[in-house]
Amino acid sequence: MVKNIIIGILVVGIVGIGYWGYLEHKDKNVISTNAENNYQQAYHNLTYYVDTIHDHLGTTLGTRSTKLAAPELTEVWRLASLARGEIGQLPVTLLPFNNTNDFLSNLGKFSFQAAIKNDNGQLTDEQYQQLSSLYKQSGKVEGDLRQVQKVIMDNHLKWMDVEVALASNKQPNDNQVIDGLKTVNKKVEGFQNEWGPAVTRSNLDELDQLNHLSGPTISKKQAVQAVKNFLNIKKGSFDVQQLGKGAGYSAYTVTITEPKTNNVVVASVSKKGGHIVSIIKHRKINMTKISLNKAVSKASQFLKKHGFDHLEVVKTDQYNHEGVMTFAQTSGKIRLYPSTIRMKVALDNGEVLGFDDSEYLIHKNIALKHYTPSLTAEQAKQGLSKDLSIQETELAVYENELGKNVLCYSFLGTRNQDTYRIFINANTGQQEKVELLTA
Amino acid sequence: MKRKRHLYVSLMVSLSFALTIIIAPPQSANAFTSQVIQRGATGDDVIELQARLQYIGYYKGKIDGVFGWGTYWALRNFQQAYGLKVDGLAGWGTKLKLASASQYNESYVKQNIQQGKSFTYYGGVPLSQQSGSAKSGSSAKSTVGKQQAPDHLPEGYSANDIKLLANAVYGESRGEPYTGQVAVAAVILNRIDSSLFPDNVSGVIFQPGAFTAVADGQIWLTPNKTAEQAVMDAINGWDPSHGALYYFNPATATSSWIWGRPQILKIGKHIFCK
Repeated sequence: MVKNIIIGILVVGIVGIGYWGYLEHKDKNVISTNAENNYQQAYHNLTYYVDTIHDHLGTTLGTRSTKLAAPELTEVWRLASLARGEIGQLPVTLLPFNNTNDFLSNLGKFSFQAAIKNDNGQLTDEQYQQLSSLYKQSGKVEGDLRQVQKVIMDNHLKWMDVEVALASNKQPNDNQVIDGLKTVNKKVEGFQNEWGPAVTRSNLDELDQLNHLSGPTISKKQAVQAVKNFLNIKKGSFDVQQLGKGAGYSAYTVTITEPKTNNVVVASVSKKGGHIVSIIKHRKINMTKISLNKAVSKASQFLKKHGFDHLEVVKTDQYNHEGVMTFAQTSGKIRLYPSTIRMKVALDNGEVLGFDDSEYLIHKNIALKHYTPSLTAEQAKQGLSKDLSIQETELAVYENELGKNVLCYSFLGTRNQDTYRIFINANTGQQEKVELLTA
Repeated sequence: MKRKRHLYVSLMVSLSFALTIIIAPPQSANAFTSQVIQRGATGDDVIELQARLQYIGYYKGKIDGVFGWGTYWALRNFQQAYGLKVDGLAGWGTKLKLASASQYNESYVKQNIQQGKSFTYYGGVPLSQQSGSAKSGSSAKSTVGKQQAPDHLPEGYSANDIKLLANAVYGESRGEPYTGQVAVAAVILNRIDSSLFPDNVSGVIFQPGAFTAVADGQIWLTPNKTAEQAVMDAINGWDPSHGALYYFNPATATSSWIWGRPQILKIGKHIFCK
């Protein structure tokens, strides 16, 4: 009797567990189908956008006047951005799909510049050439993406499997989706595109400047000494590491742990010349005792003491118990915005906790050039909105979108509650940049 | 003789009286602390500065304790109108002039800020008409008596962006050295700048497979102060990763591809690479 009851309970239990397991399984399937559908949608959208980009590029080739080409190119710009958004939805971060993303990004920038930043009303010969090769290339990318799509659909492949294959330790070589995308990427890499400097500008070229600073090449030991001298640290254990080739320039990272407090200072020093490129120190700051204003003068003193001259504070901010500020180099009355030093000061005792002069080291030589405006401030002001009341005017060197240092009038103006900074080229009168300054 | 002495005493008394007036600034200016307030500053002095400027009609923006551009122009206009040196700095002379020209009801202003209400503080208008209703949600969050930190945000970032970044940094690198955490935040920002990745904070963080903390849900842990500070340092331009776009833990990295990337340096457990 008891035996029968126990058997009965067990049977009910097993059936119950089985049913529970079935529900869990169903739930899991619903969720994974949902994720799979999102991936599928993203991929199909991606191929659709590339397809449409190809068509619009083809239409653009029918004309040379910017007026007619502009709407098409603007569409390409928009679609390239959407296509990149879809790539961002796919589980391909750890997959070599970079070149495709890069291609789309450059394509977008190129069409933006050709459509909107073109002032002579005609596509130049190079732009036309570029367009026709982009037309061909986008056609190839489109074909390959479609091929992957076909494989996925014919074989009922799942993106979820791609994700698992990428995440697992297994070599994901037998996965057709991954192989297909690798092929696309490889092909894009092979495109010999002569993108203009404005399209592919990277700060890597700039960092190379740090390999050509003045002074002798230094050793690890000298790097530590340079940091200790700079910060006036007498004691402390340290650790030096040479930066790998990914950094874009040769430098050492020095980590000094202060005795007693165990506060850590991390600094990087250029190998050529032993210049301090950046410093960051972390410690607890419990209260604000000095004003931001005082902190700025502490930072100025620090700079003066270390021989940095002709600098002017251009931006100050207080966050929690820290003051963060930017100093720009000046040449006479002209501010040189590309050449800046950033500082961070603790507001409890005014200690300098952060220093970064990489921009200064890269750009300081622009001060050697002579800058003379051919327009007066009044003339440069002509194009501005009548609603804007100009509060301050100054001359400044600004690095524009094309990566050129141009002399500008920098106008600070207000309109209702908003403040704007507008850079107008002091020689051509062209508007280089408009910023809406927050708060 | 007696008369002369009387004169002497009264002279001394009046002199010392005059001296106290010169040495001690009038009562109303005592409200400000002695610091020079400048653009970018935050805190109680800024709240008072904004309230006083609003009281006499120079400042029309929100009284939030953040010395932004709106406060800057208001202060300059005030300095101009009162014949002071127009420098946009609230120094001793400016504060003194401002204190004598305006009133400051500290408890009214502070209470409104603490309760998250939208309010104004114009002179000549009854205070009861200037205080709006509390924004839903915000009053529930701020506990009474606790001073709310002013929302001072770096340009181009929303409070939610910073929260999301802090979550990601905490989920990915808690327990790492401080610079390692700054470097993780910097990698996210470097990806935003790179043409290889999405171009906004959430796009980069939630990209499928990009961060393990997102995949396993650790991103939803509540970040600590250190993670938040690391994010701020990265946003303010410090990059201990030296431009890295990827990082991995060599003990757990599963992809062979990641080992092929040009490496930059190792911080704590993570190797950072391009």
